[in-house]
Amino acid sequence: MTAYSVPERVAHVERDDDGLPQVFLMRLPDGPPVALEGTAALIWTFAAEGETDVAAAVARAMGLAREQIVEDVEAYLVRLVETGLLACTD
Amino acid sequence: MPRSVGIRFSHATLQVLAEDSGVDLLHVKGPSVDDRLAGGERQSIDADVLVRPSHVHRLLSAMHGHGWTTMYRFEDGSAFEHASTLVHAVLAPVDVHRSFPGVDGGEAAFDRLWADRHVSDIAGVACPVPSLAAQRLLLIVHAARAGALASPDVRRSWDEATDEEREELLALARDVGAEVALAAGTGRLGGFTDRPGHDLWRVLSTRETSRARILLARVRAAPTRRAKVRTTIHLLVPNRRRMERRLGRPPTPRELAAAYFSRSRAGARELVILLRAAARERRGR
Repeated sequence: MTAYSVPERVAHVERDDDGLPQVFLMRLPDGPPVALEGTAALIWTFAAEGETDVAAAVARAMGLAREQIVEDVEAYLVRLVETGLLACTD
Repeated sequence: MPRSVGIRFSHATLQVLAEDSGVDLLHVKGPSVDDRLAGGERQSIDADVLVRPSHVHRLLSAMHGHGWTTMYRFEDGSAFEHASTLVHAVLAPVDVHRSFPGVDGGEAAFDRLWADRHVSDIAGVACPVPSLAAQRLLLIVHAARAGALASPDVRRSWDEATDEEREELLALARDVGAEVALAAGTGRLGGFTDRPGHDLWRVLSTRETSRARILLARVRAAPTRRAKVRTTIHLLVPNRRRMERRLGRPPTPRELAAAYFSRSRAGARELVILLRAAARERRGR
């Protein structure tokens, strides 16, 4: 399992727009700002909160089986790390 | 991007630029206000920061290097010439304050505010903000300047403050040269009639509409002869940059002249009335 954290120079604002989770992110100081909504926002939030099994947490929140989403979630986490919006801590 | 997010990202961006440039910066108003004084989400349209006066050019230079452009220079703003507005393609505008109207202590005042600062989280970034007492002071002084003495900011910062909190606030105001403005915001201006800023803060806090009275009060409050001349020019001469933004093109010489005569005529008419009233009062004594 991989643990994640918010990189030092990433600004983040979490919102809830009528039940739809939203996360706005920006690498400082030049950005550009990025908006994540729905499942994407959930994945980032669980990872940023230090959840080590992000796929399991997202699956629980969505009422799905972990196996149904694990590949997509892990691929998305890799993308977030590559773009500097999330950091691996181990 | 929602405006409230853009404002938070502007604060966070400026904090990083300030750290990288060795600039002392305090985040004021908007999302930086302590929850005890905020009373829910504040309706801001821009991000406000107060920069150490001697670091202004360093900060503006860093901002210009990272996509910010100056919309209004310090001299384009209010007669206090206290803030410059910078805009960005995607972030919220920023008002860079080199001073705060009503806080007259200059660099020494900033030293005091800086010494008492603490850190507040804005968009996940640790941003220095003034102490709770200093936040109370800035909110009250800002409300006084806007003539909003019944505002929730004054209620929370003064009316609902304990005796101890008020004492702390009064002591801070003495240290940073904000006694008169604080008195104006808290209904105690009568105790400061001998101070140079008294008339100015009376006209501001009572929403005086006479241009002549405001002009006279501002000129009287200016500390030096040079500052008095500059204040007069600022109030009488139309601002070319603001006209250009309003018109969407540079104003023609005819438009500039018309704006100048319009402002001067209105001010002069009221000035004559004021001077006649003063003369009658002298004769009556």
